[in-house]
Amino acid sequence: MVEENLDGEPLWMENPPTVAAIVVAHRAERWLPTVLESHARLDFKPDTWIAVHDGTDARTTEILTEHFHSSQIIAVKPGLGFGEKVAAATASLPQADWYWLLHDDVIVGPGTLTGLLNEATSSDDIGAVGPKIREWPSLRRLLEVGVTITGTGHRETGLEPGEPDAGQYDRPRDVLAVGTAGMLVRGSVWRALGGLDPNLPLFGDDIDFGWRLNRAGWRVRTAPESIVFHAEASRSLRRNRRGGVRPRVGERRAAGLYTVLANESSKRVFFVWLRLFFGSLIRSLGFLIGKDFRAFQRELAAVLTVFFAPKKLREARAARKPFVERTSKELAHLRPSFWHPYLHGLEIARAGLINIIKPEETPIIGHRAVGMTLDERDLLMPEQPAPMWRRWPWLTVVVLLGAAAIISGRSLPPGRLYSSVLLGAPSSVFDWWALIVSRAHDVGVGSVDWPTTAVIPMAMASNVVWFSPGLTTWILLIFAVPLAAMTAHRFGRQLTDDRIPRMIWAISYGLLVATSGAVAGGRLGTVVALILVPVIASSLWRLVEEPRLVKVAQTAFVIAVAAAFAPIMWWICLVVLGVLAWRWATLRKHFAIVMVVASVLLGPAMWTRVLAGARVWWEAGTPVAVNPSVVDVAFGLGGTEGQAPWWVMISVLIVGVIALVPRETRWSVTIAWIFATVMLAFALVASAVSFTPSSRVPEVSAWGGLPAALWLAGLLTAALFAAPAVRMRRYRQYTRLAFALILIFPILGLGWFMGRGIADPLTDVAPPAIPAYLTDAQITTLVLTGDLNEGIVAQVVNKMDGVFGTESMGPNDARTQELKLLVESLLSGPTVEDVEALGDLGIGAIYSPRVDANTERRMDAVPGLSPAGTDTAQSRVWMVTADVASEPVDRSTILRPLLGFVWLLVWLIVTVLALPFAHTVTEEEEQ
Amino acid sequence: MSRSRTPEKAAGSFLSRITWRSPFWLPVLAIVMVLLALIPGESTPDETVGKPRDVATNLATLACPVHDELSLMVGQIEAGSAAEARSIPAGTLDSAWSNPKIWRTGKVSGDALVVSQTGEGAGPVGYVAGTARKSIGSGLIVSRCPELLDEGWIVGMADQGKSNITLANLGTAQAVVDVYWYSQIGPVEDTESIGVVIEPGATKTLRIGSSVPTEHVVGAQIVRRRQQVSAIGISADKAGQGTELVLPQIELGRSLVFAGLPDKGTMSVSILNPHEETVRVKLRGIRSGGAFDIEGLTDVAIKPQSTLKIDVPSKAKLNGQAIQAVADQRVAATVTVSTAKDIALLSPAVELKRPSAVPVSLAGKNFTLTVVAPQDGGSVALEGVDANMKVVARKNISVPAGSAMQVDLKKELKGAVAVVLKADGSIFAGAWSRSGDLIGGTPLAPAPVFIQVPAVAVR
Repeated sequence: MVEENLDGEPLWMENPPTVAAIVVAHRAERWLPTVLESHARLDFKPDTWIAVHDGTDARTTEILTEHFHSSQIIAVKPGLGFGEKVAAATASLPQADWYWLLHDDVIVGPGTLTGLLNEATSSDDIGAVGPKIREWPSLRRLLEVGVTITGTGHRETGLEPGEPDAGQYDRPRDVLAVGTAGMLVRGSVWRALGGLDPNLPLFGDDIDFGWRLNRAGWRVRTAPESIVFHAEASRSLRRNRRGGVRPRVGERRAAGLYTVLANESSKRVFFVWLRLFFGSLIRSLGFLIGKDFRAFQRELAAVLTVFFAPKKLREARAARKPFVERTSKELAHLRPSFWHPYLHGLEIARAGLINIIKPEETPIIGHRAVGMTLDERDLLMPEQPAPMWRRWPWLTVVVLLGAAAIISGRSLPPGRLYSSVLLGAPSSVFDWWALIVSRAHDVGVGSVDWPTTAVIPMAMASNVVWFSPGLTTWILLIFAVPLAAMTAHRFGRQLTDDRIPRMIWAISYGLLVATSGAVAGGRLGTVVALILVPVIASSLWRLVEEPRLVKVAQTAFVIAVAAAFAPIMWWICLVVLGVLAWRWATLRKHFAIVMVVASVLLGPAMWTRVLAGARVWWEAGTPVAVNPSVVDVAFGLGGTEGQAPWWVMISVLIVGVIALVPRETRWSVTIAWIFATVMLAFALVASAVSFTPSSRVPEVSAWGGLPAALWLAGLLTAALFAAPAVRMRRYRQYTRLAFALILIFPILGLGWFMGRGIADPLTDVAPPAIPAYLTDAQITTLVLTGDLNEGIVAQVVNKMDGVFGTESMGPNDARTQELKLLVESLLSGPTVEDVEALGDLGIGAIYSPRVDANTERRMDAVPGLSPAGTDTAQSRVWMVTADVASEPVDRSTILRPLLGFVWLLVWLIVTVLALPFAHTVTEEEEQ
Repeated sequence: MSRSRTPEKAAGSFLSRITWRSPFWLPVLAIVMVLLALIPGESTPDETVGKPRDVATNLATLACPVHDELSLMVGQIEAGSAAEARSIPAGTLDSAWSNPKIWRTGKVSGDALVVSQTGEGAGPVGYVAGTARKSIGSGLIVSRCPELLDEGWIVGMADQGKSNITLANLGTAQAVVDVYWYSQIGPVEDTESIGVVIEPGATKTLRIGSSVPTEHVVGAQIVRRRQQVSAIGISADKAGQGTELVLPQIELGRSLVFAGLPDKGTMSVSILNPHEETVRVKLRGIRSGGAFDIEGLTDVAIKPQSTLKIDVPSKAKLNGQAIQAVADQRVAATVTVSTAKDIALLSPAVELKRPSAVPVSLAGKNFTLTVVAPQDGGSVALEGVDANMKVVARKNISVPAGSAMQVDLKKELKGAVAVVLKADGSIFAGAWSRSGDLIGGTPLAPAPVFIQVPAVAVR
């Protein structure tokens, strides 16, 4: 509240303080005339005017000379910062009560100075006052009403981008700092504090000065009554910088870091130093991952500038120390919260995610949103809020599918999942990474084999749940249907604009993952591949449209991930890319690079799975034989426990055939049918094929659930392509029938999915490989199953056995043979040496879960084995009494971990290149 | 204008043509593919690991019961690479028995001599013979050395406090053995014989009289529960006149052949039915002239879980010949031959699928070999070897189907200390010796040349 005299004038008018206005100009011929005109309209004028000019621009000098007396113009050498120019001006001025700092691109209003003085004179402890700064020329948008700085060294105005001035900040308040554009600063304070820090010639000088002022016991106030209009000529690149201060790379960021470290209290500065240093490194990494290489460069340059010049910081802190009157705690209310920067980061991440997902939004007020500006859309307010399912129908569908998925997985709480195919997750993601880069692995009697390539994407995805990587598997299997539906729906946008058929198609596609039996069977390979197939298709589509490096990387990445889980995807993609290369000859090189990069990413899987004949059918997980029936394949089923009944699927076949009827859509429908038929061929081949996973594992029949599901996916796509035909006059009478037909599968499928559930054989109970006490004691155990007449299966259970990714790992052939002979000897003519050999292999116990009498008797006769307690009546445990080696038997050369690191590096590079983040052009970069 | 067409255009127009003119060719193709896939049928990979296979034995262990009055002979089919002989219970190594390339003969003090012999397919064998001391019947003993035991059956021993079963622990840790008793009236409860603990390198003797009192025909099932054990029975007759070592029958059988019956004395067959239902048994005599059903013994019923002693009529004239017991379920049995002064108990012979060996004479007693072909005819090649395993005599014997042949080893294979038998066909054999009323006999079994090894798959 301004105190007024009897004439209604502010009380200070009776004895007005002396004010010296300082105008700093540099190449401002474009704005200066207008600015100087505004000065003339002030209703309370400063006592002294002085203009500072560096002489780099004759026209600016000329304008200033026309406006000011020569004694009011100070020429300084070029290249000085704003603070040094002001310092030069104040040095030539007689002492004034207040200094008013003005930029050459700031227009003032008639009452600007009055407003500032009204606030400045309201209390004796006010050191500086800043006006409300609005944008010139828009004049409406707010730029600043006081500023502060976050804990991570970022300038914070508290305003939304483009926020209009509606009087919402019209209450004067204490702030950490005000901008130098229009700042009114008490002369004594300015002189005492030594003005602006010359170490901050371009950025952050205002915040630093305000912070110092506050710490010295003065208050910095906003005076919203006072308004200036700022062109921000430097920031918007409209000013020619020749002859001025040239910003160095990362200078803005460096200024922020410097300001925080120079002004933070001694108590906290160490922790702040750590936070800023490591935070900046993480930010650098983030920019690198986001492929914003310039931002990475800036961040790194700022780190080097600030953290590797400790002397400068020490001097700055020493210079500030004598003036400190208030603690950081007392100023805490002027700073953003500790979490503020991170919340901001989350907001950016959320926006990015939304950009990736692009949820379908239905226009609800009869206007198309496309083409409207943000402001215009803001103005279109709905008459009444529509329900969520109308505004975001697909989001609603996804939520409902998610709920259905949870119902379906009702007996499988979050955590590890298991089946005969699906191995469990390790105790931490570290174990997965170690499988790639370690020299020896605790698998069996020790292995130097490579793990399944799928370990890499699984580990990458599980890093966020480091100590519970089983959650990744759980999410993928429980939410397989909504996830597949989401990827399908996103791809569907590229296929058709028909919203309802597209959603039905996406739901149906999602359900195919479950009906095939892959989810209940724990066949993670098929599940992941089916989730990714629409992503692969979408990536290829975009690659064709926009053949750029990023698109190549994205396509190669998703193909590699899919093929890592289901190697047959490599061949399917090869066929598809071959066709595309035939159609788009100019892109052959791109397609070739895609396959080469995908192959490199697959690493050893290329020769152990993809190019290893029928072993290509071995998906991620234990190779378990299925009972493939040709009829199952025809109905898109995998031929395993947990698949849907045939009658659930039959409508898809009918719909697919009917889709061929309309002539108008026949071309695209045929393409879908060709894809479907090729997939059927793949599936039929799988139904007739058996493969030997390794020399240790007997032949198993192949699982062809993936191509079988894709066969039906092709038919569903044919139906999607044919859907527009029902709007034609010829077929309009069949519209209801057509919709009823395409709804049969999603309704039956969803009902079956929720009714049956996905448990069994999928379970959350780990199969008891060995008794718990042996597991807890981490005793490598030889497990014997079978009987003497039909043969004995010997399996060594080590710490990492039963962990996803290790299914392809085992001892080398010589070691396997050694163990085989050892077990044979134990079961025929055992000696003490045999038991000692067991100990040398690291085996500390022998476990037979369903021991037959003969085996039991023979094992009982083995010298050097002592019986131990066991978990069931049918099982027996014998402990090895000999010394047991603690290390795995085999160790690779150093080359193995080196290759592992190189492999991971390739994955990292391709992943970074493939991430869907765009390079962001920032203000600083523009400068 | 050029009329040439690019392959792309040509293919495109082909696709267009077949798409427009015949839109349903793809479903037809799909159906054809499915039908074609049905033709080869569906393969189901074989996931079984495999059947057991025979491999040459590399290590075999014998546990020969020894007493001061018994002579021991140890030899092998092929020269071994090393041998170790350790006496029980002293545990001392006896180097006199550690040459695996010769036939060794001698006497050993203690309870038993454990001979472990290595060498691929060496097939060590051992025999004991001699006259037992008075306290256990003064009978003539002729016996093969038992090997390691998983499960064994002994039946027909008398219960007058003279008979016992001796268990020897051949391992390095405590052994545990269960012995289940049967009598003529059913199973005999004896908790003390369940979980019999035997210290390493020691023996334990179970006296039948104390375990199963007042029973005439005792049957025993011996089950090794832990570690390496051998077992052998010593039977004395009621009056304490006569002795014999009884080898355990290692497997129940439906067709049991008893060969090596001495040529003097009365004969009886003791049978143990361990099942819970009655077993019917037919006894056949096998002589050099052929096989025949023994009158009155063609359908003998053995009550469940009981023993039964069946006297063989003397008119069957089977002394020195063979008896076959054929049952409708697997049983254990022993043939007892009794003279006025001695007894001989013989467990069933084991088919000679692999080579076997037997001494020509031991402890001054000459052995007679009885070779039996109970079903089809066969032949046996006899190789007489001297102590250095050099073949010094040979003889081939043809055994007609359903007949038994006797060979006086001393006479037929002069200069030999032992005879190696290699049978062709389904041949059983036993060896016996008689000196007046002192009789002894033992069934032959293949030497441990091969061992059955289960198929093992490492996953």
